[in-house]
Amino acid sequence: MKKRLALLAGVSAALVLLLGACGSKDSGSGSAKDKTETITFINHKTDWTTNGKWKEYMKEFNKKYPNIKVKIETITDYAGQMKTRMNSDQYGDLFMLPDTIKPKDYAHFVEPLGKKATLEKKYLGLTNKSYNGTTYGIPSQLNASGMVVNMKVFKDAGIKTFPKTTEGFIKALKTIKEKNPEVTPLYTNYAAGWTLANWDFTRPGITGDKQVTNKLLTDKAPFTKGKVMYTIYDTLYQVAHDGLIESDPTTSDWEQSKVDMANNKIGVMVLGSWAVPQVQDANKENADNITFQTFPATAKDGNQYISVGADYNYAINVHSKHKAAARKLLNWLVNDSDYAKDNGGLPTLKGAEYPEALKSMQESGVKLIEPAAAPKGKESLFSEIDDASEIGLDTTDKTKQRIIEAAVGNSKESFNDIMKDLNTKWADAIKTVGSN
Amino acid sequence: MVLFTVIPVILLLVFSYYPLVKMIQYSLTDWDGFSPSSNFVGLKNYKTVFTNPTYFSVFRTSLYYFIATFFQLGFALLFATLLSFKVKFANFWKGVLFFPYLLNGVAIGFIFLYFYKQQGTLDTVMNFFGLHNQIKLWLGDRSINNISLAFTSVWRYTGFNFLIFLGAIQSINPEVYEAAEMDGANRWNQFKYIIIPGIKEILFLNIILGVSGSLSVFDIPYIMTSGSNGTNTFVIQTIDTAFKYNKLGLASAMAIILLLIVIVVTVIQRVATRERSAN
Amino acid sequence: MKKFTVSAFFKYLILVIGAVIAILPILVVFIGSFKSNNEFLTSGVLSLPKHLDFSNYKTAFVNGQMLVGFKNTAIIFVISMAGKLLLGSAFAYAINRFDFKLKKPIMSLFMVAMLIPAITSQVATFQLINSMGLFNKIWSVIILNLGTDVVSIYIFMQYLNEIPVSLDESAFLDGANYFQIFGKIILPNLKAPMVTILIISGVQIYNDFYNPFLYMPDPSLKVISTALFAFKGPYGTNWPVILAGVVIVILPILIVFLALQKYIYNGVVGSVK
Repeated sequence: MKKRLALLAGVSAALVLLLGACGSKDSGSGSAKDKTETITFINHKTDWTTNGKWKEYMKEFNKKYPNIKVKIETITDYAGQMKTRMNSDQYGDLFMLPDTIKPKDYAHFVEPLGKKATLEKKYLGLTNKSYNGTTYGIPSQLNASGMVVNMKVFKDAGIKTFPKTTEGFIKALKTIKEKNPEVTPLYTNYAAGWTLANWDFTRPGITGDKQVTNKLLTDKAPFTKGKVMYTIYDTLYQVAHDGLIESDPTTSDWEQSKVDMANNKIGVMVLGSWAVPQVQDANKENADNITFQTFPATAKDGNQYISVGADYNYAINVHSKHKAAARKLLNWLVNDSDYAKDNGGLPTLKGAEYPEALKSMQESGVKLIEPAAAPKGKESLFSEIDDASEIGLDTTDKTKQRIIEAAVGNSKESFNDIMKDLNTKWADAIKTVGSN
Repeated sequence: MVLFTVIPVILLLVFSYYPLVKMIQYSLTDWDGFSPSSNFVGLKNYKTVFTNPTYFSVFRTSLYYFIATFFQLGFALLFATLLSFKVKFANFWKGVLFFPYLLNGVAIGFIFLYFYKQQGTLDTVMNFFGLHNQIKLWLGDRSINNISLAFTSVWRYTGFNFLIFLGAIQSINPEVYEAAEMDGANRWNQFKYIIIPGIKEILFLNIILGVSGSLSVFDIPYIMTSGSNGTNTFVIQTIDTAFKYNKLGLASAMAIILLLIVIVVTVIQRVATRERSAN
Repeated sequence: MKKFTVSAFFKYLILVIGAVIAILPILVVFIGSFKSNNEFLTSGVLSLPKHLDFSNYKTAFVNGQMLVGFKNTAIIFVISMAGKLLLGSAFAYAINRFDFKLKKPIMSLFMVAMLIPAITSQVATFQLINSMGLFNKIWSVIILNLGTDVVSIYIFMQYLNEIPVSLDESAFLDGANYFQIFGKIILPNLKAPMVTILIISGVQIYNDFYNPFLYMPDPSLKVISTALFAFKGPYGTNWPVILAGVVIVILPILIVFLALQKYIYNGVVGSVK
């Protein structure tokens, strides 16, 4: 028996060694002796892999840092797959920080980048990815949230200026549908899922209130008539209910939607300003007609606002063995590259130039608004309540999909039922999170 | 000699039993999957699964697949019976009916996305038969999308059951048929009194496999609809809960529940089979 | 005699309907894969392509990195199969031919393991693979293929019963040790179950989506399933390219099936006994 046990121990030790050897082979290459380091940068920009843009960028980067080789990985369902992958410690060296990671957990996953107070002098939009005064992510760009609009579609239907109220907006979409039944007035991109979060992002712009998100932390019935989330979801429900969206939302296609909009087959998509160049690229001759507008609503003070917020943040994997090299790439992307401009966003670096699409809107009197930071010590609270409620405000697609399904008659829920349910879930979540 | 068994046993312990023990342990905590610490919460996670409709409702999706299992077995039995008698091109029919079973799940996903899409294969076929007013959004319409997905599963697995049944039928002694034919039994009687009793065992086994199969449906809905619009299955929900919502404790409880159901069903099958063969 | 023709008519009618349902979804994929995107959008799914356009295959194969997929699938296949066959046969040999203290408990360990559907324990397996440092390494999938394989051991055990013990004994008397007996007597007699396992597990490994998808997200570790799944993104609406990708994935299986039909049938039937 003893012999057998010894044998067993021996074999298992051998097995462990074998596994260990396999494991360390790949990771051992990054020792300090190596002159060239290879780092992995994981991001969501699949289109840049296909069109070779990332290759160009890295060529540029290697002019400055010839000793850092960058392996680019792009993922289509980025947030979902990356979140899964972050349950391991292999998620690249530099990567885009998914928004579903809670601020209090940043330290588990990502390397601190510096004191917020210092970095703030140079960069915009750091509030979201900072915790206790330390910054963990730097935005790749800032986005305006609102609507990508094909003005030709509107003008063809006799609408000269983009509406300023939700009523006017729905009326305009109806006119488009009547004048030209071939056109989809508003394309939801239901199937892609992540696209729907853009509806949630418009709330500071609609209210003109920097604190709108912070107020949600204590509001036990935010989905009540007259409040901003109700207005947003009500608009979504109405356009879907009135048949102003794509006929089969579940098989709608993100890539196709950009092509269709560029070719005047779609009037509006609720997205960020980053989408403008992508749509323009789909049909360069029609680029001038693709504009960016704020959500059709006017704040209580009579002004129109458009909310700007950070896009995905660059962050460095806390388990990375090439942190210094990853930081060099991060700095280069934020300070030196044209990333923001090429993506239709505002640069994170203070004092850099704004893109055309936003300049013109600023001239027409729409004010930019950046949401305020969460109260100190409560940076995680919003995502905790959101997670506990499973409503997925700003993140997942389930609630928005549920509203569309109800509106087109796929489910039997009424809009008010859903809002009531959301209120209950939100209130319960505040209670559960508060009691922890 | 023990040497020969050590590696497989270690592998088994490490990859089958260790995760199981770990999961039972996780299921009693509120662990999020990465924090160094977690709290013991007792049976709270199990209670959540049974009381929160978000989690419980996925069992309803399983029902579609479970009912589909019976269609699958029915078709399989029909074709197996037909081909167990003399048929021209027997090998051709057999090959065609069986082939879908060998296909890659992702390929099947795409094949049926193409099949069900607007103006896709199904719509074309229905137009051809003049049924255009019956055309629906096969994957979009909540009243039918689970049926569309379950049909995909039937299409995929019928060939497997068919082959198993055919094998079982063909292993029945041919003299029995000859004797029956001499007694003037027609095909229906042969089916009823010879084939069915001859494959009762294997039929029962396949129904049981259908129960666990319908609970662990994953790749078809994951690839085709990502579980959206009411097509979420138990396994997709478990994985999302674990990795996307970081509720590893809760997800483990879900997995344990699934496991228990499967084990109970299998044990019932084993016991029933044993009792029958004892009789 | 007349009655027979009526029933024969129905018999063939049913078979034809079944065959059409089985083939049609695949057939339209073949048809569509040869069309240009323009022709695809303007013609029906059942209308034949005007001319054979192989450019979709090129796009799918090159841009879709199918070659990487085939390479990785091949690596996983070869190592997993070698491991399965060797470990399985040796294990079955030890259990079948020898008596030792732990034999009963070991047997029951395997019996119970048969009941656990692998997908249910993913939640914990993920943590395990990660803590072993195997995440995003090809070994993760290989070791899971080996670690959760109970079926092949069962198949081997069944066949071992049929190899007469007298063969071992006479070799033993000729002075052969256990390893020699295993190598010279047992292994050559296990060809039939090996073919069965090769086919059953082979198809499984070739078609495996979930493990590679979960454990090897690195694009250079794409297998054939995950390479095809990745078509969902950048080629979202370019159906002809997706269809060509599907055909590329199906083709090897079709060839193997046509060549080894009989073995495959026996293998599948043998695996459930």
